[in-house]
Amino acid sequence: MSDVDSDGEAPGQETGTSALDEFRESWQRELQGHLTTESRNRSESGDRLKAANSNLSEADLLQAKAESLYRTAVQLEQRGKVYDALPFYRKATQIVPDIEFKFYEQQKLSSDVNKKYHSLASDLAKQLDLGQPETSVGGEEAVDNLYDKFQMDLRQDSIYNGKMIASSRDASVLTTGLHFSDLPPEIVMRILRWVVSAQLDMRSLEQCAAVSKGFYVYARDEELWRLACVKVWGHNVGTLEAQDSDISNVYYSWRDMFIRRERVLFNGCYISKTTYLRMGENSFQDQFYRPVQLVEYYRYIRFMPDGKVLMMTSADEPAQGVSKLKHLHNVRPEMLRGRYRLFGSTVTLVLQKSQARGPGHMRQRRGSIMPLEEDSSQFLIELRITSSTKRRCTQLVWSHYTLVQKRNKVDTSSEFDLTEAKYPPLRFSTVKSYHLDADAPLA
Amino acid sequence: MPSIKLQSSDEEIFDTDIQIAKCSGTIKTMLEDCGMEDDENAIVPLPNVNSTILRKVLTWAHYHKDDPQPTEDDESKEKRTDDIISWDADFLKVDQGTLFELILAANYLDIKGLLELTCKTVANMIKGKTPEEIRKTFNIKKDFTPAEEEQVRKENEWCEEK
Repeated sequence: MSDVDSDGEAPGQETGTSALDEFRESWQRELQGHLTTESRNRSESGDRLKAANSNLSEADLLQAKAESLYRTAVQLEQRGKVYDALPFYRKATQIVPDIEFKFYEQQKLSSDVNKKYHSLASDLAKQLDLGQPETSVGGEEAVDNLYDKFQMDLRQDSIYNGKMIASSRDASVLTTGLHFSDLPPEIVMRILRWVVSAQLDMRSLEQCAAVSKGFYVYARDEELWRLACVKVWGHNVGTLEAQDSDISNVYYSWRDMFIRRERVLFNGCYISKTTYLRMGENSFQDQFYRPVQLVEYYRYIRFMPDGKVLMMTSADEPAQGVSKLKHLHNVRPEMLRGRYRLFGSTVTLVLQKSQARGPGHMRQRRGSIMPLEEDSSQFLIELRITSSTKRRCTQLVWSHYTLVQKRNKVDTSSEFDLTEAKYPPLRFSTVKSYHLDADAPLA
Repeated sequence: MPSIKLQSSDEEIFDTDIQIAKCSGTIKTMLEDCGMEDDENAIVPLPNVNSTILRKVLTWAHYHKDDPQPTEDDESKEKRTDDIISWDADFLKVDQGTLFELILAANYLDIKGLLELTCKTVANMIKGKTPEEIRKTFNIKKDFTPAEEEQVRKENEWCEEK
């Protein structure tokens, strides 16, 4: 195998031939072999191929590569997949412009040589992870890592011209305006940070990933997802390997952590409905008239990615209730506001009555009775995050609810009785208007 | 009021107030490093920006010249920043190509406020849209095979509304 002729047309040397025969054999074994042995064989033949490749000249390699592409294209076309075949034809002609004639001449050569070329070409095609005839025949085989595949595609495919995103504009129509693909990567990442925004709108980011290969590569950027994880879990974010939860969770990416780790959802609010009966006042006139009132109220909790949380109990139906929680800077007096933290699958909230500035302050300054007592009660809540059958982290179950009151510098805490009837689990519902506009980029 | 001359790529000269020109980090550094501040006739060449875009950029800089510098104060962050003020909204009523050119110019000239504003505008064009809508908005070619598209859809299933 040491001296292979550099002439690409006739690699008929004895040593080269035996090596090629070996490839062909191993490749055919591979085709016949079972799935379990396939990968081993493939790596074996790949190694041998590499050894052989180093002895072939560059021109030979290019020629073989072009041929493999062309052959794949022909096979695809024969199966009726004309559109799939086109890129292969194009790539082949880019490497060797007159490939069509060369290929035709090859076809006319003796079948023995032709076979050798065939096997080499197919092996090369496989090694390059371009169209493998056997997998496309076998149906849709899932690619393990789309990220790597797309990156490779973007580098190899000519339609991208070294850019990440292909334009759908008609190339023959002259356009002067810039296209999205003219933006440098750092700008696209800056835009995506605005898309995600401080509200962690990962859904919009995932929609971007489904736009094109280039967008996919941008939107799967680990730094974006790491920043999002840091936002959610703060100091407790840990690393991908060691987590605070008792199950030794290993996440293979920050995106994976964001999806699988227990957390609260931000693009809406958690709502529970409580109903109870209350005896109404008896009438003097009619002793038998016993009015019963059905009381219905809702509890709303909205979490913000920056660690803030709002809670409100109100008789408003959700349609009106959620909109009251929309504006964070303009909190109504009936709301409790505070901060939360995630520990494994529990979330703890520390809430206070929102300080009504203005009238409250005025009274304090005038020195009314016990001005400090007003705002000194704290609500401590612990909720357990559970998943519904459909979606993760969409339910919050009450586990503790304590009211701590400060009176004369003494803390008195009273535990609420968390009966199922009075404290039903809160369920998440998405509120689209919460995420309509970006207010700050992800940082 | 001292002024300097900025020269666009198509060689138009813009007589600009020095304070306004200095909102560009690039120009500011250039002036300070080259000691051009006192030279009335100095011309600053900006080969990456054409006159149309430079005129727009300077209009923006002129309007925002008195803006307070952004602070890291926590309270000021509370203020709502999501509504682009109406002047900026009008300013950005341009076609997509121009918007992208403004982004590139803001990036090259290092004008942080304008860069954030324009990037945010593009982001708001993306947010809440379906992939097909995004493709349409920006004339992007769908280069997935059907199998790839399906796989991406599966990967993204976790955030779908049901």
